[in-house]
Amino acid sequence: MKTTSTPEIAEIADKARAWACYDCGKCTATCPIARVGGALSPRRQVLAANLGHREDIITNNALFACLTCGLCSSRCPAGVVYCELVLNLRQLAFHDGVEPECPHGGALQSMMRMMAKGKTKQDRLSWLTKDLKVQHKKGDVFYWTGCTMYYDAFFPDFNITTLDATRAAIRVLNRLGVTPVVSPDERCCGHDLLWNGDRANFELLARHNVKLVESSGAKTLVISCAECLRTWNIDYQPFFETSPPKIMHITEFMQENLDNLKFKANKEHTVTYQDPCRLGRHLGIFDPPRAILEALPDITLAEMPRSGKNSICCAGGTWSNCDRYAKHIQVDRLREAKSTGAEFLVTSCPKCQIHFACAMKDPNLHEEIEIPMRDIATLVADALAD
Amino acid sequence: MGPEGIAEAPAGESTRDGIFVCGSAVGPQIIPDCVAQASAVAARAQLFLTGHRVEKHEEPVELLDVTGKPRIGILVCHCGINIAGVLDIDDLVQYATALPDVVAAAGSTFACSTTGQDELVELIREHNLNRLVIAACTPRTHEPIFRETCTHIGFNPYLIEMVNIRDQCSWVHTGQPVEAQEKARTLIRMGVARARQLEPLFEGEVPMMHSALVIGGGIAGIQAATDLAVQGFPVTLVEKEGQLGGRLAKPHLKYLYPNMRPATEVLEAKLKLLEESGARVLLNTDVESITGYVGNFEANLTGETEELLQVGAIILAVGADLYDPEEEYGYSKFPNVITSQELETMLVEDDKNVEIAGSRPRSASFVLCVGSRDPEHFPGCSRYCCPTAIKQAILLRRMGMDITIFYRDIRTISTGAEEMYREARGLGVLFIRIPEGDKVQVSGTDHAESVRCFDDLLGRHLEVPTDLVVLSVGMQPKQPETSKFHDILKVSVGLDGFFMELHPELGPVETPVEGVLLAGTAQGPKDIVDTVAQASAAAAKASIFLAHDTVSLNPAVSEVIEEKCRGCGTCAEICEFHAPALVEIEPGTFVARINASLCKGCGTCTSWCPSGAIVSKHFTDRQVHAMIDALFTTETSK
Amino acid sequence: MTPTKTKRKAKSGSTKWNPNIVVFACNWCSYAGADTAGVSRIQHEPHFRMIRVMCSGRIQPGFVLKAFERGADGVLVSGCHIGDCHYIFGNERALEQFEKTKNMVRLLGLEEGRLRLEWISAAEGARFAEVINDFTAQVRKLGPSPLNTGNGER
Repeated sequence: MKTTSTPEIAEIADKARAWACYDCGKCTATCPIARVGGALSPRRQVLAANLGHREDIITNNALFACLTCGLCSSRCPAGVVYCELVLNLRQLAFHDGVEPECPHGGALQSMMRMMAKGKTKQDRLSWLTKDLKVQHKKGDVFYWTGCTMYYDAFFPDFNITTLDATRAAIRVLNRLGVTPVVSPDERCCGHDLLWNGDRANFELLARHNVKLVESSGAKTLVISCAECLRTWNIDYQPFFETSPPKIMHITEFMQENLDNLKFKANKEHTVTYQDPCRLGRHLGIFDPPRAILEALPDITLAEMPRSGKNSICCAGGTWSNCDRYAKHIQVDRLREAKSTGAEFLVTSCPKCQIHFACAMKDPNLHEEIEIPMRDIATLVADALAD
Repeated sequence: MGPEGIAEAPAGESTRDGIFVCGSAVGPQIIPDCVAQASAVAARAQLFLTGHRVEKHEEPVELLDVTGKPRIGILVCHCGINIAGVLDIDDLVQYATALPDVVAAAGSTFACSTTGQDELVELIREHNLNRLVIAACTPRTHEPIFRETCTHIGFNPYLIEMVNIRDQCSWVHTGQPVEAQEKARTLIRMGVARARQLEPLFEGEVPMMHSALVIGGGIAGIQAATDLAVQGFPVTLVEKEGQLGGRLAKPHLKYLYPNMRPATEVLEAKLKLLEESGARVLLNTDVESITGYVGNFEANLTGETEELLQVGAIILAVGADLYDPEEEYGYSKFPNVITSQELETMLVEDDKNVEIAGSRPRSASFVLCVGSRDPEHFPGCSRYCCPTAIKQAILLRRMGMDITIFYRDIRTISTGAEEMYREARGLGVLFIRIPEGDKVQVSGTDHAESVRCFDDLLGRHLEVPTDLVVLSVGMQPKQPETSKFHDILKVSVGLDGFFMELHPELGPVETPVEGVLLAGTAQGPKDIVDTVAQASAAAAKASIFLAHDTVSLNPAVSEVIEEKCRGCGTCAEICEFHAPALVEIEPGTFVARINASLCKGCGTCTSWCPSGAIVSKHFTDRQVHAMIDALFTTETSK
Repeated sequence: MTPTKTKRKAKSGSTKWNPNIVVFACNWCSYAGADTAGVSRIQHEPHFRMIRVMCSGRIQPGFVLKAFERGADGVLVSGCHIGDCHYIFGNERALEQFEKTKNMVRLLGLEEGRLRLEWISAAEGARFAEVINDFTAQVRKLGPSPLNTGNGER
């Protein structure tokens, strides 16, 4: 076996602290994919990175099988940043012409790359209803919509409208006296391309989006989608030319302004909450959504056995790993959600909703795993006192 | 030969044993009829050759090693001047040489000729190729030829990519050679890109049941069952009624045109042959359901005989219904307005004397195209009714009646029918043309008294007094049988509602469902001569399947990568052929599996699969994406 | 490498802009229709490139979007007439996929006229040529796709 390490891999391994691994195997033991029988061993990946055998690492299916949910890192006693390792190795693989086999025939990746090219004027805001107050160019608060309008167009048969959460977020902002900037020139944040390894197109998107927000003069950037938030908070940082605005998740913004939100009495509901990986483990935002659920009248939160830091991923991020194991994870997770006795599964990322909705389409299991889903913003918007 | 100087050979049999005639040598006919008849003749010829059935003949060849990095060879065909007259072949060869993974490129005057095929084999051997790109004509006609040549030398036939630079380039952009050249280059670049992604595929095999099921005991079913049984294939003929013969049987038909042979005589002869053939006949028996695929169908029979029958091939001979005129032309109102079928039944009882309500009509009017050539019912021509009306008119005329035939166009395409038409005219039968878009009016008080029609030539209305009106009713798809077998066998139905053949010229008795064949009027209106010919053709085609010990399966079908399958069932839901099905591989975990023998390779499931778990072999995402990428990547690089 | 210009110059080539059109066709009808146009020598615009699949049901949104992503000025999706599908209902599925694709293309800001769906039978050689000429004229009017950067870059 060749053990000569190419500089790139050594650098990547170094950055991710792969060298610190002492081979305890906790990562593989906790990996949700490995637990349902998928051929993924984070430990093996870390070891391979340390050995630096490029071919072995980048052509290994396991590289794209990882959900990058970060559960393994949260357990790692040596502090190996596994997601970071995967992220950078995928870029290396992409550079060498190795790409994931994309679900949906790569349609969503094409959509993102078209936005990266820019040049077209998207029809991005036709979902805005008259009651929503927004401005398109300048303002103190920029509301980042994410790509929910595209998802709804692409998944017409899922019986979910991810745009509901987008509209609800604006409704709440309006109630707080904020007329946010909602820009027709927003483009995909590039999260999925970045995690697919396509750094070049990610950078095109990052530059455009950072410039767009900078030029709005916004001091605060409010984001609903957990993936967009992670991207803005972490991956966009090097692209800011001026000092970045305050970047907040919609739940953080709502939490900060809870005192100014008046709620009406509600039909009593028990809900359970799915922590999106990007929001939770990647950014540490566990409490704001819970504080909001707590503040809503007549809403009781019944936590799943695995929640917060221990939460299990919806198993579908980045439109690159969708398979039998992902489905297994989703089914288990939905069963877990149902076991709490909750009437609704609440989440704060459109992707969680899409992937769970897809899992619920199962012709054999649907009654066992079917549970209505709500985005936390819609729950808040519906509870607003008149 | 007959009086017209054309071979006299009903259904292909000539007056000499062992000599058969088919196609236009029998009489003028269109290609679909020619092809059906040719197959029929082949079936008859086979009867003389019993014991020498079709055998699969293949010498084992050593397979060439096609693994490793693509080594692509390109043959650019001149097709004489067809391509070279417009495109610069040398430039294309040179251009192709520079494309990635191309190790050899050459021109060929006629790639499909024997010389061309030799050049191709030479190219493969000399350069140790593992992919082949042939820039020539359309794969739809010529891919089988190149595949066969390659198979013979052990080169996997699915590693060939054809680039269409003739039919879709030189022939249609003749006046724009610069653009055509650019297009040909791009198409070759795309072809090479796809070739790099091609994978060898291997035809699977499943055992073939050598028996057949014929559904419907009319003349078509009888003929098909006889032809197959005589060759030694176990045949089951299922008829839901209590007697065989369909419309030929009593009391439906008296004489056959043009020779006026009694229907009973013909039917008896056919039934005798059927009995001698050893075919098993099940009366009062229906087919409840059918599962499986070519070589391995399983039919659930119900009724007088109840059993699960396993067969290798199925011939659908369910026949057709006749149009019911209901209110039209006073049919339900006047006792003396009858259908051609009802007249025939009267003739069966007495062909010298026709009585309506106790009195003998002295005049009769025939109305043609009732329920045919009518956009509201059946826009097509029912084909049998013109000659039948003429035949009936002659019979009535001979009883002394005055006869008028109201027609749209007289279509006497079958052998001898035109002569019969002439005879009728000679006997004084009056023919009046119904103008386009118009209809005749039958009027009377308690019975029909006259038929009124506008005459285009005279420019005025004609009113013909009449004692009897005969409506020449057209054919309709047999219901509920047509819908039922469409549902259970997935045999396509055309816009006219009849079963649709695979291709009018290339497969007139075949269906898109392999091993299911069509005989008689189930496929569309036709007369008895054509029905018999088509039934024999269906039997001949069925025997080609049945003669084999195994069925080879098209390997270019869809396949599930089980690791990627989410078990959502979308594929199973959308497939018309029931090829994918969900299987529980461990408690609570379902994955789809595709039955390769049922899959037709359309790839619709692949495009609907949310997780990319289905691969359309030979048309994979990778292959298509490679073509798109190559289309837009203008620079060539090794 | 650029094409050799030794042959006579095309009459129209020098003045008009020529679009780059991708045509997805099913083996049994629309691809066969294009062949029929060839057999009948029905001349038509040459600025399209065909990609053959077995059934229009195989033409997934990803194919069309990829073509646009790479810079196609127009994309034509074609198959058998409804009721005439070689695989019974593949074309009806294709229609559903096409609607989805069309919505995506609209959101992405490409003109609707750049994407078209046509049912063409194997016999309709003349109609195939007509559709190609008409679509080429339509796309020519719209001009180059904003995503057509000339070099197919990704």
